[in-house]
Amino acid sequence: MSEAVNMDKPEVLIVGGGAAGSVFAAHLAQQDRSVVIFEAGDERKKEELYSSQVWARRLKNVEQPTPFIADDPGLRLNRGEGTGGTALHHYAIWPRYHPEDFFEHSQYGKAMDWPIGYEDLRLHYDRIQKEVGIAGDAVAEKWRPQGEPYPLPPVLLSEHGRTIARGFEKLDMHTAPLPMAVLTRPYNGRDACLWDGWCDAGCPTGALANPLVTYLPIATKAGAQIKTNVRVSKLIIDNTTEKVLGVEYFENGERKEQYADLVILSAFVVENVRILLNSRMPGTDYSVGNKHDLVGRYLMTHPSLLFTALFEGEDIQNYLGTTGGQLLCQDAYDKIGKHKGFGSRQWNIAMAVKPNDIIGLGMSRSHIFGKALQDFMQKAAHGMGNMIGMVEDQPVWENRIELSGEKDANGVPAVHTNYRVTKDALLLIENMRKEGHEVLKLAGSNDVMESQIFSQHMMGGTIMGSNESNSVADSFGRVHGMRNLYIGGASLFPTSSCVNSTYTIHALADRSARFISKNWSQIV
Amino acid sequence: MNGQDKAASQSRRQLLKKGIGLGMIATNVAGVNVLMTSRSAYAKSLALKTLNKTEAKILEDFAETLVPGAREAGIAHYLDYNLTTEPTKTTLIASYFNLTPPFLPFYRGGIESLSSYSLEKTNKEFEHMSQDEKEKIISSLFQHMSGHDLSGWQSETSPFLFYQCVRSDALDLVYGTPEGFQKLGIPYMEHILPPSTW
Repeated sequence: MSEAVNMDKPEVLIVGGGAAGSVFAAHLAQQDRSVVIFEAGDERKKEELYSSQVWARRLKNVEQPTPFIADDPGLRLNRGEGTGGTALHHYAIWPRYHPEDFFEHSQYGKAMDWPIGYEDLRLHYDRIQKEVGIAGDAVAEKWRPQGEPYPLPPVLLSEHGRTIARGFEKLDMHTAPLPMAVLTRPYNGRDACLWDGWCDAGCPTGALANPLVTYLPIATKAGAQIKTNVRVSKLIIDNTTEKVLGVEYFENGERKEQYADLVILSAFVVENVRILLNSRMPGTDYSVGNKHDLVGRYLMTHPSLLFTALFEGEDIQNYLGTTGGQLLCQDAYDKIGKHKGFGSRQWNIAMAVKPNDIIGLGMSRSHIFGKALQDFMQKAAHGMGNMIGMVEDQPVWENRIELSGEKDANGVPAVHTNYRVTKDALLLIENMRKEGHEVLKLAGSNDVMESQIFSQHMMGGTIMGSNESNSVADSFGRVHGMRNLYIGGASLFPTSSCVNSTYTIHALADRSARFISKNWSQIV
Repeated sequence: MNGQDKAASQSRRQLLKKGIGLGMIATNVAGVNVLMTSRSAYAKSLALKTLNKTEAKILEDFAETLVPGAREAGIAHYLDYNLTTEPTKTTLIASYFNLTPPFLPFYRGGIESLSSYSLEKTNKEFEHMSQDEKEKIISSLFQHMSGHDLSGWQSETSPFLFYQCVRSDALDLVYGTPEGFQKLGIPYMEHILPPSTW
């Protein structure tokens, strides 16, 4: 469509312009629905994605920081506001969930079942990878579930990746090119990657699939409008029907209302939960979707360890590549394999590294300072290899986001987060600890160190399921008990698997958007 | 041309010879707001907005001992600027460590406690120690920061996080610039250099 959106009442209001919101917006606008995206942060422009780890921190700042009551320092890195959302600075590691990730309760008596299986998402994975452009080697990636081969050849393999791969080989373990939403040749009008490792700062060239170069341009070309610096505080619910009428929001400190036929919450895990908890169901003592006290529950992450290894006297070209890495190992994906603890494990290998910042050279040996640090930096600049071990988390009732009792600058109740790494995940981490040291020593390093446990990615909080007693939303993200309120994003995940979540966020949003299009008249 | 060749040739992106753009701060000179690097601000001995002279001296000494070069890179001016800027615009790493802005009380508490800890352990204030003494007291602090033997550390600021944050801030200024990359002999390969507005 090309007509201006009627801002009095668009057909679709999407809260959050990140990974999920952009997919919804692109599809629904292309189906001639009038679409408006409300984005809490600034408008982000490719020209402002500066090559600097220091600058990159601004992309992760949020206006209303969420207090984290946790023994975990990693959660803040996984957020961001502004057009593109957290996906603007994501590392574009895009493996698929495996079939067994969807039915862990039925198959193993652990965790939960999704209301859908891998086959329900497979075509959406295939469609998204063709639209976005994913690089990989489907044959070498022997653990990969069924699906179309990757449309692009694998990402760069430098001496960094080759060196560490030798350690895996000596342990009789397999590595394969890391599947990445990074272009290895020009694709759909976007340029190929130059392997300069500035992914974390936001990729301004368009080689890395962030929403600024994938689905937001499609959405706006089809007529969707994006309104920035507007923070949605709660839903406006009809008193007599199971419908949401719109949202309350704040713009420059002023309270306003926006009405729409359909509302989609895709404001990332924390804000999705916060908006629901702040929205009272008329005539009840519970908030929207929260009849069974499930909103905010089952928060999960990917507990991780960063390993760094010095290969003295070598130039392994550790400054080349992508921040995500070069190689993947999923040999320990079996939920109940030889390892201790329930769940899957994954290695992401050979990330391009910078001298500074949280995974930079200098931070890898925090006990070193002074002249010793200077000497170390010279060696590490060319000889420091790395890899990250990620493990599956368990959905537990106690890990949650809840109202904190405090209020933000607009007077809206804030949230805090209670999170502890689960027992199974800690056992899996112990396997990674042992394996990581072995691999890197066999690769030739005599100086191997591991980080503290840190968390990557946030999932859960508004999980999907078969009914309202076990979940907040159905398999399409529709909030139980509501006709026209949908959720997008990782907050829907009932299990975490051990793989990066952005690809699955896209696939779920694609499935939901198509369902909404097909069933529009029954929904609104 | 493959990735390595591209990086090596530097044909598209020349390695910069000077570290412009990084660590830029806005400051007031003779009543006029100007932008300059924190390195320049230090070289010109410009007045600080928030930190007093003693705090700045302790901070500089601490950062310089952790990461040589931090003082001349303008660590005190960089932090002084960032500690007063609005939370969504800060470039400090503190937020990665679950700290919630404003960060000034955190840094100020760390500075005060470093001084009191040093006094308790050696009967000498940190800023008056020799370089060797500073290194020893930092080693002692690092050794005990996760334990309970921290008598003298009087603020709520975590000594572990204070150490990590200041060390990282110093690494940002000394090595996180095109000039810093060049010192290490690795290509910066920028797409877009940060603007001169921060």
